Amino acid sequence: MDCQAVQNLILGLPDPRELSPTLRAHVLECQACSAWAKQAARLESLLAQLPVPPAPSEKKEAMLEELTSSGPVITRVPTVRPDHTGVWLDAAGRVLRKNTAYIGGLAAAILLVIGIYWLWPNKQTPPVAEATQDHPLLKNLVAHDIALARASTPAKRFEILGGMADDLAVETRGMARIASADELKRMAGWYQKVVNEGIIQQAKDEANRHMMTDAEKKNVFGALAAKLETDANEAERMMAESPQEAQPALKRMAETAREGHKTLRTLFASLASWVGDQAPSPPPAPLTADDRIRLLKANGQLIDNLVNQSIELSRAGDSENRAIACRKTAQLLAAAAEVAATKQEAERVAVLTRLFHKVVRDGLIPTLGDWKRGVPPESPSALRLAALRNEVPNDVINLKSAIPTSGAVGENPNVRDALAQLDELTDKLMTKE
Amino acid sequence: MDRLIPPSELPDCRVTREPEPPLPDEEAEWIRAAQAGDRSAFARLVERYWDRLYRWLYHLARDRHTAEDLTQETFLKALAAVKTFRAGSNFRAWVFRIGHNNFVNQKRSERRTKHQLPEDAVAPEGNSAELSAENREAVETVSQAVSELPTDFRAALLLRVYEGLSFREIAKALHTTEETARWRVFKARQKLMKVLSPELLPPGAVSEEIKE
Repeated sequence: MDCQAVQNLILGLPDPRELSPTLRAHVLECQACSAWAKQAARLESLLAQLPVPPAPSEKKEAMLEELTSSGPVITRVPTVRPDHTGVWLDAAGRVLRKNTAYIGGLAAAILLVIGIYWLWPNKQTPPVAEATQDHPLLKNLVAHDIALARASTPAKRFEILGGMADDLAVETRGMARIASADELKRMAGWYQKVVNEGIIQQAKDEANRHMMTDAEKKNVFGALAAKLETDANEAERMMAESPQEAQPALKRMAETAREGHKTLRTLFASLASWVGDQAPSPPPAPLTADDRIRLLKANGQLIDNLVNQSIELSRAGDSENRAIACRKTAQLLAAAAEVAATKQEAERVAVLTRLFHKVVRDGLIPTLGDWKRGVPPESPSALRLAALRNEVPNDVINLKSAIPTSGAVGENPNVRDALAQLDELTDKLMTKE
Repeated sequence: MDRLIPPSELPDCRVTREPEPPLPDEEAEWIRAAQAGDRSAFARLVERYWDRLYRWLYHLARDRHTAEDLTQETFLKALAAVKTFRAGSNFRAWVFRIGHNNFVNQKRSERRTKHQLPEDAVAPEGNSAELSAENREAVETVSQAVSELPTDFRAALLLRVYEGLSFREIAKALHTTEETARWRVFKARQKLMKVLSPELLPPGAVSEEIKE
């Protein structure tokens, strides 16, 4: 049993001093978890001993006195009478007196607003539209990650990786005339990673594992080889049309694609014909050049992380590892949303929260279901599954808690919609199968 | 060796010794009578829950004056609304929920610094010699760490530890879902474990506190 899971389970118990037989069995055998359990038990005991000073006045006694003396039944909270000496009114009176300045100021402000509205009834300032934060590459990568989490065969995973490489190639070429050298270098790096670590490395592994039939290999690798050849040709064509600072990145892309194409052909040279299946590339998003640069800067690190995560997903051999990797993708998006919330970027919060929702709903939850169907109950894997299922709602709740419910972010309608979607997730995750 | 201090040996700074838990029928009878207008029946409920509510609200508000005011306000509102209480449901969770609402309202209207220490906090060493020096120091450290927890975590954790409420009952008291309540308790413990791990188990100590 995974020690981290055990330690989390202990902290999630109603009382960490009362372990279930399964947890106890592990704790008895594992030194680290045994120390952890002892610390958790001691913490629980110390919490019960926290000191509390006595109340400063005798309001309890006064209230009891009032209640037990004869008199009419109280059916409402008494209103404030400043000079009343009754114990019960002191608290209400104090609250009102303390807040008189605020109440007065608030009333004046309301009157002022109403006055201004009457004087200028037609003056309406349209809300300033927040710049879009919806980078198409981000959305596509997330969609690919969901598909990778659900992909149950190597053939499907290769197809998805091919689509991912396509998107990165198109985006890089699209930015070649407008982005800086550093930005293009970064994008070419993503493309290189997906091709080399995702497609080519795993194709080499496949050549040894033989998990795919010859027909599958012909279709899948034929299509991939053709895509890579096209990418190389397109990158070389762009070099002739792009400024100097774009040259190194495009050259890198072209070399990666050529090398990848050559490797695939070499690896599967026994397959007689190549299917030149050229799936149409998605059209570039209708964004201005400034928008594209801005969005690239805003999402660069996140895309970096998502590309890495995609590679990991594509390598995950079973539903357990896919679920774990898928959860990490969701956590990346949640972390980015939390950062956006601290920066008051409401639209970005909404976009990232929706993407998080999509990954969990369409990727993680179904993959957890696959995992559950494949494991015997009470097995170690079933226990790991149970531990992960217990933790995943925490990710949703963590994200919800990090998003303010008021202010520029909390009052944004898209953020509110996104938060409502998270509620749906909690229900789904809590459904006992 | 550290040991759990039984209630009978608690120092005087503790507000109360835990009363015997009421028989469910007894409390239900008090509630019925209070709903029918019997003030002395309500007084019994106040007697039973005042100190516990005050203790919890003290740890939320970190000020005994505020905690006392909030406790009083809570029972005033409970008295006014006792007829709306649904017989058979959890009275304690209901009262704590009113208390929590009052606390939230009060927090909104007053500004407090995050790490404000209560002016009249009682340190364990100010009290009896029954507490070993080691235990006093540990309790003090835990107390400080608890006061630095986010309020929501603190509220849920102490309802679990002090009142022994189930996660479902904690959820009712805090007006949230059971899963959120469970998660808050988990996160509170997790944060405390991270902060306190060097203090929680002195070298060589053997804990007997894991129950058989």
